Parts: sequence; structure tokens; C-alpha cells
Amino acid sequence: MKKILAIVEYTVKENIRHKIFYTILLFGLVIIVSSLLFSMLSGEETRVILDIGLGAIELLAFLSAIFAAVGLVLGEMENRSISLILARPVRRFEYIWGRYVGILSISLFNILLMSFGLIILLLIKGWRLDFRFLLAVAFIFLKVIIISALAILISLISTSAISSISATFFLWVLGHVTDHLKYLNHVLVEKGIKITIFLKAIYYLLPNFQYFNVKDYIGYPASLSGTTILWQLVYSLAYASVATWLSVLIFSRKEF
Amino acid sequence: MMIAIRTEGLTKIYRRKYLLGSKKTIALENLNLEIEDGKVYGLLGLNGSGKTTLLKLLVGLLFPTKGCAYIFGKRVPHLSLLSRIGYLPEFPCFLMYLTASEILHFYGKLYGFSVKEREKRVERTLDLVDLKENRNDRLADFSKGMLERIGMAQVLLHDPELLLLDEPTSGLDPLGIKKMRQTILKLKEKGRTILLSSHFVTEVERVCDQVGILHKGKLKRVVELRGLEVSLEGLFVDTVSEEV
Repeated sequence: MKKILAIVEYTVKENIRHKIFYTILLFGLVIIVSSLLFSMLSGEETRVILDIGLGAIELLAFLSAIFAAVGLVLGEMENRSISLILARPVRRFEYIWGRYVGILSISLFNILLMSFGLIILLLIKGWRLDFRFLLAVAFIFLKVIIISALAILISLISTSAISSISATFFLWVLGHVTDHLKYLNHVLVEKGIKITIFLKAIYYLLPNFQYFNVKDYIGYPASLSGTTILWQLVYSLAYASVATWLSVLIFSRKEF
Repeated sequence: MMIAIRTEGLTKIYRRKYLLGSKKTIALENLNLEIEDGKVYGLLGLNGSGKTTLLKLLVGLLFPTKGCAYIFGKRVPHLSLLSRIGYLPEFPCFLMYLTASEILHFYGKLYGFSVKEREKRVERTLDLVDLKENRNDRLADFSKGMLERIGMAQVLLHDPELLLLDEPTSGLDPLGIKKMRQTILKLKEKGRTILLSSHFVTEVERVCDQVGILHKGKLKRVVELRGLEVSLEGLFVDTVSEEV
């Protein structure tokens, strides 16, 4: 455990000294503040600020996770500094988990900081804190838990940062439209084209990020049940665990 | 005399896959080697002779295709052995955002040293490689020679019994080479076992007890340097020229 914590600390330290970390953070805060301008064009000021703000937090949390996962893991393999870590009494799974938890810590910090900025802005505009706002932020983090695990997995099997970032981005986009696969299957069956098993396999393999879109509920009477929240938590943790376990499996066989 | 390193039929074949087919490169072939505890053993060979591959196999960064290796009687790879080994790659790469002190503290944590123990070891090691004054400088600001020295510092941090040094003098200026030689000789006096790879015959001749000449992945000759009456350079050239 101490070795995992040492790698977590080293990941955080490395990341916060990287220019991209501050660029992403600054960009996020700029978008959140600029949502004020857009809100003036609409009658529902707080709604616009909320939508733009939460959207920005999600996008930038995703970017921060993907750059950290690809930049740190793939970067370390490419520049061979990894050999000086693995030449010490460190198990390969300790390295992967250390990196993963480190990346999540950075993302959580980013999300909390940007959410804090957004809350301040909303309170100034007379908004009353809604529990579902906190839930929406928590669910953004659940998405990051999944995508970070996938980004590490992809980094281990791809050959360049560009292909790694592109593949992770592709999965992120697909994860938001997986429900459309069901509809596609329905349409294809009606036309006599049977690829149901194939589509079902893709549907269950891809992460379903639509489960986590709580921000649409904020400000409306509809609410989420405790069971749904628990199920989404279990889903993200299970998905991320399987992806990280696969990363450990691949990494254990890697040569440097 | 105890055997520090023993390899039995150690073979490493790299397979590079292409779209149509694959390419096979034999880096090490059926290597049988024994290195006694407390000796300085030099691996001499041309580029691509398999020196780096052997060191990486011993430290567990590569896995053998066939055969096996033992260090202090334990089959490699073995996690507990890594606390007893210090490894210096040919071109040591670090996280350039960290300072000299931070990187050594990080490695110290991976050995499980306490804070107090780490402080002591980091200070001592930085002193040994003349980088005490630069302890709070980022590695990104270091010169090539300073990075080589921090490379040696990370080897010495945990006071290992066995040192695996891959081309330890490559990229060093004459003063750096002299310093490295002195460090190796001091470690030899302390009874440490050292396996170093090089293609500089004169450097190997100055510090080693025994030399193995590797050529195209095969151990061609083992030479005891004490009492050697012919020139090592001549012997090396003759050995590698036989098949060139």
C-alpha cells in the first residue's frame, strides 16, 4: 500500500508541475465565468449558467484525465523512465493502481475547484443550492473513474499518444450514444438484417455514460431514487475495476 | 566462493510483428554464465551483442524466451531480489519535473525506507555524487553529466549487494569517467559484486577481475584479467573479428 501511495504522490506532483494542468484549469474557470454573458441572453439565467458550467466541468475533467493518463503512463513508457521504477521492488499492479489513483486525485481536485467556482457564481445570481447539483458533480467524477481506467488501458496497447487520445475520445463519444444501438438494432431487425448478437456485445462492452447525466434533473421536480444512485456507483466501480484489471494483466506481460 | 549470478541456457529472441509476417532477432543465445560474489565482471561486446538485453533480463524488465537466470540463488524475476540490486541503464531517464532530492526520496519510498532513513540516505548519496548543492534543482535544469551522476545516485541509494551497470561511462567527460572508475573501485573494495557492460576495453581492463566477450548474443570467451599476458584489446578484436 505504501508503494501505491508513493506512486500516487509522484503522479500528482508530476501533473501539477505540468503546464497543461493549469491551462485546463484556467480554461474551465474562464468558461464558467463566461457563462454569465450567455445567461444575459436568456430569461433563465441560472439554468444557462448551470448547463454551461456543468458541461465545462465535465469536458475539462475528461480532458485532464485523458491527458494525465496518456501523458504520464504512455510518456513514461516511451521515455523509458519506467525502467528505473520497475527495477525496484514494485509489483506491476502497484504501479498501475498508483498511477490510476493519482490521476483520479488530480481529476477530483479539478472537478471540486471548478464546482466551487460555479457554486459561487450561482449563489451570486440568487440560486439556492440543490442537492442534485452535488449529485451531478459526483456523477461527473464517476464518468471520470471509468474513462481514466479506459485511457490507461488504451495507453498500454497503443503505440502513440495521438492514437491513444483519439481512441479514448472515440470511446467517450460512443459511451454517450450507446442507447441508440438498441434503436439501431430494432430498425435493422425490422429490415430483416440480423446482427443482434454483435450489437448487443458492443452495447454491453461500451461504457454507458447516459446513466450519469444527472444534470438534466436539476431544477425540475423529477428525482433519482437511492437504488438508482447505488446502481450507478456500482456500475462505474465495476467497469473501472475490470478495465484496470485488464491493464494490470497487459502491463505484467510488457517488456521494457 | 558463492555465486552471485548464474544463467542457464539463457536465450532471448525479439519478435517484431509487421502487417505481413514478423521478424525474429536473436539477442542472446544459450548463455551460460557464472559470476562470483564480490567480483567485478565486465561484459565486452560490440553494439547489438546482447549486453543490455542480459542486464534487463537480470533485473526483470525483459522475460527470457528460454533458459533462466539466478541471482544469489533465487530465480529471476524475484521481487525480493530487487532490493539487493542497483541498476543503471545506459541512458537513465527521469521525471524531469522533480528535483534531485525528490526523485531520490521517491525511489527511497519504493524500498520502504522510513522518512528518517530516507533523509539520511538521500543526503549521503547526493554527497557521494557531488550533487548536494543541487538537491533542490529540477532535473530538467541538469546537464548530461549531472543526470549521469543522479543515475549513479539512484543505484547507490539502497546500498545494493549487486550492481548492474549498463555502459556506465558512456556520455561522461574525462573527469566524469575518472570519478565513475573511482566509485566502482570503492564498491569493489567494499566487496560488492558488479556486472558492467561496455565497449571501452581500457575502462573494463582498469576495473574488472573477469571479462566475458559477448558477440552476436553468444558468450565467446571468458578472460581472467589477473596475470593476463596478452592485450585484452587484441583478444577482444580477435574474438569479434572471427565471425565478422
